[in-house]
Amino acid sequence: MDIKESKILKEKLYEKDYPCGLRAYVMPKPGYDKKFAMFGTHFGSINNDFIHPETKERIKVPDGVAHFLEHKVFAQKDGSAMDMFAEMGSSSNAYTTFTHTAYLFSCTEGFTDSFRLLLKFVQNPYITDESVANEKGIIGQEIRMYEDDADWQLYFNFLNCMYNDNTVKIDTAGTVETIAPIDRTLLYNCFNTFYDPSNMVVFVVGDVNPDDVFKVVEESVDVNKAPLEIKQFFKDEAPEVNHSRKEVAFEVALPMFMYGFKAEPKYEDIIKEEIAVNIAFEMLCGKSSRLYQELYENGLITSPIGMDITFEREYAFIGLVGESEKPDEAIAKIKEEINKMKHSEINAEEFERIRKRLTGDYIRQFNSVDKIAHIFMANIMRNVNMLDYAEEYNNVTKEDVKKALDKYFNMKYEATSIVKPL
Amino acid sequence: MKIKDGVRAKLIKSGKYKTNMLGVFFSTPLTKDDVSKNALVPAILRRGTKNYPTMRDISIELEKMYGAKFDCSVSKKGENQILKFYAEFVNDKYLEESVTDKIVDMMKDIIFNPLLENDGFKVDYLAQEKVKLKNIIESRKNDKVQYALERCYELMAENEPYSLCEYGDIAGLDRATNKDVFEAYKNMINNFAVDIVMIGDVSDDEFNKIVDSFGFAPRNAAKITTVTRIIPEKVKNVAEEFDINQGKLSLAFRTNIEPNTKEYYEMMVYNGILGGGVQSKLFQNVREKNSLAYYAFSRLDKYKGVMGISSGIEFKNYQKAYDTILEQIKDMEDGKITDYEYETTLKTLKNSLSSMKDEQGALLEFYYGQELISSEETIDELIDKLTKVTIKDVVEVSKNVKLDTVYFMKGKEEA
Repeated sequence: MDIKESKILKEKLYEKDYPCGLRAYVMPKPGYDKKFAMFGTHFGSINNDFIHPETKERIKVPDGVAHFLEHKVFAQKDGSAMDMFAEMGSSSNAYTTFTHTAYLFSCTEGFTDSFRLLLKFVQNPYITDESVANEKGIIGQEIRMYEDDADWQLYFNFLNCMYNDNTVKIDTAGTVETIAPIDRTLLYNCFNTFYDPSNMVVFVVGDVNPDDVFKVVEESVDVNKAPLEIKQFFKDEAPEVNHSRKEVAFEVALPMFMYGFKAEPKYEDIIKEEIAVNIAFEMLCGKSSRLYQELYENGLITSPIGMDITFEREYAFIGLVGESEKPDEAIAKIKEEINKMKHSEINAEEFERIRKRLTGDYIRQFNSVDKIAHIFMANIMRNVNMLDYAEEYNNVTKEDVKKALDKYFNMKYEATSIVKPL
Repeated sequence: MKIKDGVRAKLIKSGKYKTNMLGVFFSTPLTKDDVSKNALVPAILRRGTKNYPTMRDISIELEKMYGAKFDCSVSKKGENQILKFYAEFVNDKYLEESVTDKIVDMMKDIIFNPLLENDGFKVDYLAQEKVKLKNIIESRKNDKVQYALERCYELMAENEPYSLCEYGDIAGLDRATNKDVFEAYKNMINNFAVDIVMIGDVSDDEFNKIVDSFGFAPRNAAKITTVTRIIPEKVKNVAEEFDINQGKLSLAFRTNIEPNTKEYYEMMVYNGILGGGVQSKLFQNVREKNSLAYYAFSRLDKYKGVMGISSGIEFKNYQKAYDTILEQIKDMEDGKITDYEYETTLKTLKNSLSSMKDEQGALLEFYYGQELISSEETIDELIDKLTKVTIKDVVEVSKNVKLDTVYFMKGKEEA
């Protein structure tokens, strides 16, 4: 067992890596009522082309399979796992991203029983043709809900601008058409490939004893089995963007924009570069920036600008999201400011103030077990440990910010997505 | 806890968080005449003070306080408009210097010391904040799931203050003069009911000092409005067309049940069994069994005595979804409630209420809500009362649930 301690955060993380390839982590939070557990697999919407480990057959799956499987894993021989959690007074859920699927529950009482259930149900789905058909209706409505969600449209149109071939540009849930041919066999093929312990991570946070947690893991997972080797295929992605702009009309009140840059997922130091971009964003258009003040006073912006830094192993981009009466004018101002920043010195005092604030924001995340769990899982799935940020917030320099500006704010790879009123 | 007339304070002590939270809430009954002017007050106060004349100055100052957070908001609880000023800041014990005093000073500066010109607010700021509030009002429809239920309530309460949007309305914002807004501001400071709520690692003494330092004078604040008993004579049906892909079906019911009464606890359990969670009748029947929707839930507004149901469906499934929902209501009345549904609901309620103890923001809202209805009840006491509610009580309380309005947000092609 490995113990990692952060002096700044006053938090400890216990880790155990098993021969089967499973990694389990526990972060004790004494005094908290809520306990939160997650069981995740490296199977997201971008994992759509692979070799079946037993039949050695190459399988290409339609869009939306990982998400569909997420829904169906809850189906067990003796009922729905979701109902079983509810019966124990626990609240369960799951989500699918581009890179992973995670199952989770939280509870204030009876943690061990719920935790056993989590580990058991994710390894034992009971999928029938009938239940697959039924689920198509439910997921169909989930897809329809997102079709009416302007933020979602803005985001996917942006990804569509960025990417030529990378499947990240496709909605994780697929479309009503792509999920139509999904059947039981296909779901089991994916399950048997990607839900192997070697491809999975367990994380628990709350007022728990790490030894007890690991004991349950060892009783519930075949920790000594041989790890599976998963062979996958990914399309090559050119560094250039697919389109530089996409604009759609939608049932919204005010135009929305997402503006940003595509980058290659080649990092020198993924955490430090992410922090540097974050500081650059804050200096550029954060609430304490000159530009934000100017945009606000000129009526080009009425609410804070959102910042998206996506540094995955398979793709990378950064973007700014906002609402504006005149999105193109707002974007033009942002571009102008980026160029100005690139050609001038970073103000040391401003850098220091923002660095401290972001450090405070980071520490604050450790207030909530929900936040810890979600952030931990998203990070560990890209081989980053969220505790490692603490040190990097201290190490980052204004030279790093300067470097990040040159590397990631590259006008050659810019794209704009606009959603405007009908 | 009452400090003086119209001024209350509440401290919730806990050492487990890395931050402390402080909220100053002003409340007043919602009225058509004042709602827009009141909404402009926090919007304009956060723009600048005599000491920190721009938002940027305020943000820079907050960043210096180890990234303390400060913001304002406008909301409604039942027929009351709530203006909230709140801060979240790192617990002094993690720092070499105290931020608590600094952030309290900053809050006081924002509330009591606004940037003025010619005896009124800065003209530019007022104009900009009017545009901002209009944007917020018009953008409500962007979130269709939320908007469909809000719109349903609005139609139900057509002639009641409850139908007013907490941010006011376009005409009211246009009409509001600088003088009007300044008067609304003075009214807030001198006449609105005030609650100061704090959560964190703070002693009684320290808290009392903070409360005193705000120096609110006693006031004869308007009483918060409670449930107005209305029994719908006939069901109102409204459908509206939008350019959308999924229909949103919302139903509004009157319960006429006051918070703090025995019936209210019964209603909470009723709502849980009907549509609060995966074990509920709506989730199980509308979603799992009939595959009609991805989401289907019910929700109470305890300050108004109403319940709403909402679900996203195919346009063509309107009738089937409507019938399925009403069947669940009928089953509740007929006492068709299984032990599983009842017990699981109690556990679900208990879990979600206990979980709130870990979330500072949720706790702040909960305890302010309790203050508002003059209740000293803690989360544990609330849980205790809920566990005493029986299936028989739930069936009995179901008689109060009366359908008032059905709203369908439908597609443009649909006839």
